[in-house]
This record gives sequence, C-alpha cells and structure tokens, in this order.
Amino acid sequence: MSTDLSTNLAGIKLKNPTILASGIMGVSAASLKFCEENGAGAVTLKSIGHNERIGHHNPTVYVWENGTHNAVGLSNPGIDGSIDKIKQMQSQLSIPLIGSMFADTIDNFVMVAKKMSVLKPAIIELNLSCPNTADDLGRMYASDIKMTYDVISAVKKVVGKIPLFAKLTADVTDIAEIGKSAENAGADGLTAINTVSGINIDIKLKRPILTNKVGGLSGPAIRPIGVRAVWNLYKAVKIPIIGTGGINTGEDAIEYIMAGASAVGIGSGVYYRGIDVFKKVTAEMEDFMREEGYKSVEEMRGVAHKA
Amino acid sequence: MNNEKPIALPIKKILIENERVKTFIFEHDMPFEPGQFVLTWIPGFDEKPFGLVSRKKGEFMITVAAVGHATKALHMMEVGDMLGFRGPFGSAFSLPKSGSVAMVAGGYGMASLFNLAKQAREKKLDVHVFLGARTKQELLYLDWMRELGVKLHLSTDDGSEGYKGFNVELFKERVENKPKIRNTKSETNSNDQDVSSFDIRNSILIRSILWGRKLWR
Repeated sequence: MSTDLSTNLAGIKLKNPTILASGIMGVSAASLKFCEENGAGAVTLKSIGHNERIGHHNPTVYVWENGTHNAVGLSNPGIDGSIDKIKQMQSQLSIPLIGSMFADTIDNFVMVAKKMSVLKPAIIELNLSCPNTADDLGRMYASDIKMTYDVISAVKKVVGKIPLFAKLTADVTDIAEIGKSAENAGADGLTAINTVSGINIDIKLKRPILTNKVGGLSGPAIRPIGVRAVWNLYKAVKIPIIGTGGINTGEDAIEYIMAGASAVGIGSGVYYRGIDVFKKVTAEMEDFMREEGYKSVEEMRGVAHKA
Repeated sequence: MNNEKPIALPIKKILIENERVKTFIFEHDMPFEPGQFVLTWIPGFDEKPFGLVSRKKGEFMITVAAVGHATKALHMMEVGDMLGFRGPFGSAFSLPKSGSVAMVAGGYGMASLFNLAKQAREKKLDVHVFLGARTKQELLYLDWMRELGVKLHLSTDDGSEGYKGFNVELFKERVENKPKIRNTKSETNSNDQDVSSFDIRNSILIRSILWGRKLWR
C-alpha cells in the first residue's frame, strides 16, 4: 500500500505537507534551497513590507525552557529591495514559494501585493498578525473582523489568480470569526497561528529580556494553542488551513492535520531538530500513516472532529 | 541549551586601555575555548558579541571600543552595574602540539587571540605575536603578553612604537627573512589574502584582524 504525503493548498500541490514558516531562513535563495534539499514541501519568505525596516535591537531572540521567544520586529529590505532576490529564489527552487508580506495601511498592502504578484509566487500570505510591532504599524489587522475583511478584499482585487492566504493570531477572543471574515473577503486559505504574545522577565536585571519587551512565543509551548485555533477555524471555514506553531515531529504535524490543517508550517522546529526537520517530520508522518492504515493526508484531515 | 538564558553579572572592575577602549572584568567562571565569544546584553541598548578573555579561573573579561550606540552606552557604565551574558558561542582556534606559532593581531583584535597565546605558552610553544595598532597607546595587553613570555613584534601606524606601518607588512618582512616558518591557514576569520600566500615552513600562523567587529559579521 502506498502512502500519499502530498497535499493541496487552494490548487497548489505540495509533495509533502511540511512548509518552512515565515521568519526563519526565508531571506536568501541559498537558505531556501537548503530547506528544499532537506525535504520541505514549500517555503515561505520572511515577511516583506512596504519599506525597509531594521527591526529591534538585541536581544531579539530568547530560548526558554518551553519554547522560543522573539521580537525581531519585521526587519526586511522592503518590497523594492526584494524583487531581484525573490526572482533569484524562484530560479533556484523547484518547490512552491509562498510570498509573505505585511504593511501599515491598506493602500500599502495593496501596493506591496501588486508588486509581489508580478513575480507570481505560488501563494501570497498576508501577515496580519505580527505581535511585535504595535508601536509603528498600529493594531494587528487580524485582531479585528472588519480590518481583516477590508485588507483582504482590497488585496484580493490586485493579486489575480494567485491564491491569497491570511496569517492569523490566536491572541483574539474568537479566531473563528476572524477566519470567517477572511473567507468572506475572498481569502483562499488561512495560516494559523502566528506567534503568541508574551513576556519573559530577567529577575536579576529586573526587566523584560527582549528589547521590545513583548515578543512572540513559538515552539512546543504554543502547540496546543495552535491546534485549538486550527480546530475552531476548520469548523468555521471551507478554505484550506496551514497549521503552524510548535511542530517538531511527525506526531505534532498529525495533531494539526487531525484538527483540520491541510499542511503544516515549521519555524522554531528548525532550531530544535536541525534543518532536516522537514525530512524527519515527513518520515515520521509516513510511519504513522502506514501503521494506522492512512493512504493520504486528506484522509486524516479533520478526523479528530468525528470523535 | 543552558547557555541561552542570560546570566546577570555586575561589573567587577574597569580598565581604561586607551581613549577608545576599555576592558570590563567580571567575577564568574566562564569556561570557553580561545576564539569563542559571549553575547553581552547592555540592558536597554542592545546585545552584542565580544571575544572572551580570561587571565585566571573564576574571572573573565571583554575588551570593547566605543564605536556604536551600544558600546558607547557600555563605556558609560560603572563598577557594580549589571550586564547579561549568554554563551560562550562560536568556533574555537586550534593549536599544533609543538613548534612555533605566529599570531597577527591589530588593535582590539588581540582580544580574540589573547587566550590562544596563553594556551600556546602553557603548551610550551614558541609564540610570536605581531601586534599592531594606530599608536603606541592602542597596543593592547602589552604587559600581560610580556608576562606570558611571547615574542612580541610591535608595529604602529604612526611609528610611535616598533615598526612604522601595518603588522602584516612587518610579519611579511620578518617571515621572509626566516624561510623556516610555514603558514597553515587557520579556519577562523579574515579575508586578508596577502598573509596566506606566503611560502613559509615549520610554523602555524593564526590571524586576527584590525577591526574586531568583522569577526562577528
């Protein structure tokens, strides 16, 4: 019996469900190619914005006993400074490239999306939920039903046939409402979840460790939060979901898929298990599927809801 | 990884090396290999990597030039002020079992090589250090190096001490006159190709560079 690890995201076929999540490694053709060589089914750019950003001062990343914590602050060269780099990535990659982007205003979202869509990435992912930039970018779009709707419907008009995904946060009262709003606005898929907002304090220095004070938690600590978010979204929407948050093993990935995800994003897992985390997770999924008699990822998707 | 959590330490002592450079001493046992660095958190400003230096167990230090906003803030700090440390990180230098070793260090580049020189002397190696700086005042750790018993070859840009010019030129001159020294490239830093093209035998050359900053970028 053959096991089919492939999956489909709004018409984009992935050879396996592991995706390099945004923010890790997604800055050069060489690092993305390295992920491909290590088994990634798709890769995501580090979010690109309307202009260049330097990001926060260090410490920007902190690893504590249950996960990782970062407030890098969306450092990126800006869309105009990224176009040649993205073209170079596309010429070297044979797996789908997901273009992650953000902006401050809806007009700038539209501007960046227009420029990015000319490059024809496999998917455009709107980062509506970075938790680390409140001061200068304003409130997260994904914290509000109307803001989510407005930005997605505006961007949808300028990206043509490129599938549009919205990256959501679990730091809301009801993520399902936000997900529905995204779907109604024309989103072709959802990515959930972004990092979870948190603070770690150094009690000897008597101050938050990250320079931005607040930062996004990732890693094993947030996995049950992510699984719950995907669970709620799966019940609320029909569009595919990329489940992200604390996935280190094939078992972790399967939890997300059983909650309703079509694919899984891996970020801090690269830190915990090395760059071949994609190969490892895929192999572990395959073992599980063989043992349990699942023939395809699709067959497992959402099964936990039937319990 | 237990080195990911910052260790908060007060500044035990501050040495003023020259008008741009200070050495900050901390009372803490920080085992490291020569060439490794420590991430130094200057609270409220930034976290930067600095080469680790230690003259005795239970104590380590960092030598820092005030160049950017974080290092200038560090220079404003006083004995008793707290810093956070994560590390050590980075790869280390390695030494041959016997013979001669030449080290070329400019300015505060010597910070990353001091413990290698110390280790080499403990292994009874014959150590030649080509130490260069802009002026006499900026030649780092001179007394400590003399204590170690290394053979010092000094140079300054302005000729205020030793050879007038770059240490690399002095190295080239002295090494060419001693064709017994061989250059085995260390796998560490430096893009300086001039140095690595010499045909010399029986010695290992370990290079540092003029601007400590380049080490970490």
